[in-house]
Amino acid sequence: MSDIALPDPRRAALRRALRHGGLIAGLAVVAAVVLLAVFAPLIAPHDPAAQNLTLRLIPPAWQEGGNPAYLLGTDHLGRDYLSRLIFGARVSLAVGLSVMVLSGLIGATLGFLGGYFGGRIDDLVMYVITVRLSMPGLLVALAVMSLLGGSLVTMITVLSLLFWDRYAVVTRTAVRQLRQADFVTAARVAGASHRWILWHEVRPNVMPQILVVATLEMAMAILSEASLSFLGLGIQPPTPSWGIMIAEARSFLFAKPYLVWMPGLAIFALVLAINLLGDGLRDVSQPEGRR
Amino acid sequence: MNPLLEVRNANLSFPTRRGLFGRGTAVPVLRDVSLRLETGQVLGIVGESGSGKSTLARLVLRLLKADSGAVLIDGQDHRDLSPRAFAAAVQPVFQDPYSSLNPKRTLAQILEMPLVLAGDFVAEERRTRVRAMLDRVGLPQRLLHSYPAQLSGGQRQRVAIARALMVRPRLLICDEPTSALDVSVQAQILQLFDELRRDFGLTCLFISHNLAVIERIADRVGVMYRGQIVEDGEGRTFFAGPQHAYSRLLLSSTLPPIPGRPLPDVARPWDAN
Repeated sequence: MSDIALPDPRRAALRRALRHGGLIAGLAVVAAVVLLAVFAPLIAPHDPAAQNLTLRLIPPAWQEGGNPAYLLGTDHLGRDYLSRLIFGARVSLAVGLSVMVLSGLIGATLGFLGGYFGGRIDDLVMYVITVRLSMPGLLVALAVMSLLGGSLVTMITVLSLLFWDRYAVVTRTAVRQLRQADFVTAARVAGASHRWILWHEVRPNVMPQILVVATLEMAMAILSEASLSFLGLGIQPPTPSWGIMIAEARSFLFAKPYLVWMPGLAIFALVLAINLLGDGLRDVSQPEGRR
Repeated sequence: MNPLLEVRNANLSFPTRRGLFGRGTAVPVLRDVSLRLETGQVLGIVGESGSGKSTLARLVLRLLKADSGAVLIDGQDHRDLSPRAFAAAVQPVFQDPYSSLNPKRTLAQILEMPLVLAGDFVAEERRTRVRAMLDRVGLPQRLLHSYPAQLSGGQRQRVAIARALMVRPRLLICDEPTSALDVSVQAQILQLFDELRRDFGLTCLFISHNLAVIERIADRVGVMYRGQIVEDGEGRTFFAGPQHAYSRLLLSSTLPPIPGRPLPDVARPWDAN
């Protein structure tokens, strides 16, 4: 056998990632929004909650009557729109990331248990999944939020308890197939505990699928937060959230359309970027078998 | 002296799927199977698909439970052994080298796993042993940190064998370890088995439907048919003159590469009931 070095799969995956346009674009936008959210107080030119009724409804700087100090104009209470957009990213990301992680923990745990152990445990897991799927998610969220009142923590809790179904279904199916694999049996005969097998043998093989679901769920959570806040059942004013901003601008839709399309565009861009990122991760991370 | 492996009157049946109220029937897969395997011997088990060969292997590996009867390892019921003690005594090699190696772990991780689970080796010792075993099964050291996807079928099967041997088990259960490989690679793997047998003093339960493979490797041959061992004897005697009608059919069913030879007659008069 010659001594030709084999390509390192990790490096090959990195090379594929760098060549994947969608993945890079998605990653860039998500990274930019994360930076904006984290450093919001440093970046935002004004206090997002500071009202100035003498400076109401200033159009963006490039329009007639614009003020360079308020780059994207002001809203009906004279608050700087750019600052509110930047701070609004915090709510979207906080909800998106927290719900992604929490619902992921719930769903993946159920999926691992049902898929790996099968039998009665799987019956129970399937039952819970079916119950969850029979509930219209956003409607239940609406009802619960109107009962409990809106706040960031309530919102994250409610959405996490509702959005784990896709994780559970995907994980369960993937684990069910892996359970049959001979390498799991080999570990079993070598004396491995179920916990060891789930962590060392099964988990690494399910991670790519879970990661892709995670990006979908994050986008979904961000949209839900915007919808609930728009309906007045989510984040409460004056905390800036993109959903609230659209809701508050409703009455100026025709006179000042930028008040609606700017936060709308922000939501659209972030959700699109997250989906691109997820698709890219899927393309890049499942090369086993094909090279 | 106790044989290393003894199966005593093992019966095993799989239940058919039950409805909510109906009671399923049981399909017998092993029927009163008994066998003895002495230390250092290779017992070949042959039989057609569905005859219960793999079920027998899974029973010995404690992956299935017998309805009645017992499996004894060195005189001890294998159900009484701790997972560690059992792992140290018995290890499997599976048929499909594409399913038997975790695609997400490097060879180093795969080969280290049995030692980590055995628990009495420090990291340094584990690495030394992994490198030595890689040499022993004829794989270059440069593959140490590669993934199974980068290996050929034959190389993968070498890894699977190496993993089984890491803890120096006394008994190897090989369930069709060459059937997924093409003929030239089969020969290499059998060669490796021969060498390892000599070096490690392996005792082996070797399951195959390939009679040529069995003839090459086994000291004794057991023929399974419909969940029973219908013939059990010395390899040489068996291939010279099989006793049971099914054994004769099995032997005549192989297709040696002789041009112009007609297909064998595979009627089974003894099954007429």
